[in-house]
Amino acid sequence: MKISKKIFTLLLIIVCALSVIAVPSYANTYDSEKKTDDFTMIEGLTTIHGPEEFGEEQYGPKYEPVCGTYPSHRMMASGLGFVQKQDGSIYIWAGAAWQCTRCKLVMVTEGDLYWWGMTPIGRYATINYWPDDINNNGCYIYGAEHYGYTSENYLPGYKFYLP
Amino acid sequence: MKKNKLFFIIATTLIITSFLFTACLNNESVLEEDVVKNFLHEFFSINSLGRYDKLMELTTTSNSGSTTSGGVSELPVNIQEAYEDYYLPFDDYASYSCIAGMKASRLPIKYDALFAEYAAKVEVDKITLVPLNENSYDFEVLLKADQDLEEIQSPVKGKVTTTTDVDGETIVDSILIFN
Repeated sequence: MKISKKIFTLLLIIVCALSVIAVPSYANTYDSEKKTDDFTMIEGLTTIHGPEEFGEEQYGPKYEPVCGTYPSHRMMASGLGFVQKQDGSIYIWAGAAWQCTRCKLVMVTEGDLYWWGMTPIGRYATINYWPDDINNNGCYIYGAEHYGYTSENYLPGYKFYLP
Repeated sequence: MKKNKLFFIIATTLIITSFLFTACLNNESVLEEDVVKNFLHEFFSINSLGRYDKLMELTTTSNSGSTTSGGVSELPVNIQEAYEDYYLPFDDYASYSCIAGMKASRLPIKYDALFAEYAAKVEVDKITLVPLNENSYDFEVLLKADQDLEEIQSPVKGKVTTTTDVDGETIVDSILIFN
């Protein structure tokens, strides 16, 4: 009788010890079918679109600077963008607002960055310099300095990023 | 006999303690994953509860911005309010900075907008999380649609980090979608 009690108790201890080990490891693999290293994308906050450019310092003379000494504007997503011409007509409604992190140029485009890449830019409008940072909600441009259109999904001189 | 009793008491205590310990560990992990999954479900539920339709309805009926002088201005108040309202469902799951980042990146509005153009009904099919460390997960979200859409043929991959709010509740602190 004593021996059977001891065996029973020992078995219970073993079961408990196993459950302590097993449950956390189950929790860590819960609903996971892929290993971390399956993701081959570089972990970063930027997605770059547009034509390749030369190294910004190395090949100084080989490009025409468009943003200070840089070959392209660094356009950061900044919420929704609306553009109205000075004659009152709407040019872009609920598009994508961007602002250059270097020179503060403001741009609104119809196209946007998605997980599969940039869609065609479509209509776009810019204001070359705006002293303030536009807020995360976006901006409203009344009377842009430049209006354009492209069916391409890149725009020379501009690179688009997400925060 | 005394020895046996002592042994039995120790064994019972160990059993109870280990069960309590494992239950706590399990609950914590599952709860955190639930928060992340709920967030991702809300995020990828395209036009969830007509959120995008409401936003567009409010912005299209809105007055335009400043017309007195040229240049850049903030969004008109009613568009700002509609934009804020769009993000209300995320308040329970995400930190202020996470929502600010989503607003800047127009997430997930742009997905709502794109699939609205296709007039496609897109839903979350499966969410898979891979814990990276204590407070970050890689995720894969498989979407399904009532149309054959190239954009959702492969799962959306990304990374989510979590933090705790002032009440000690787990919330999502950032979302990054790989592309």
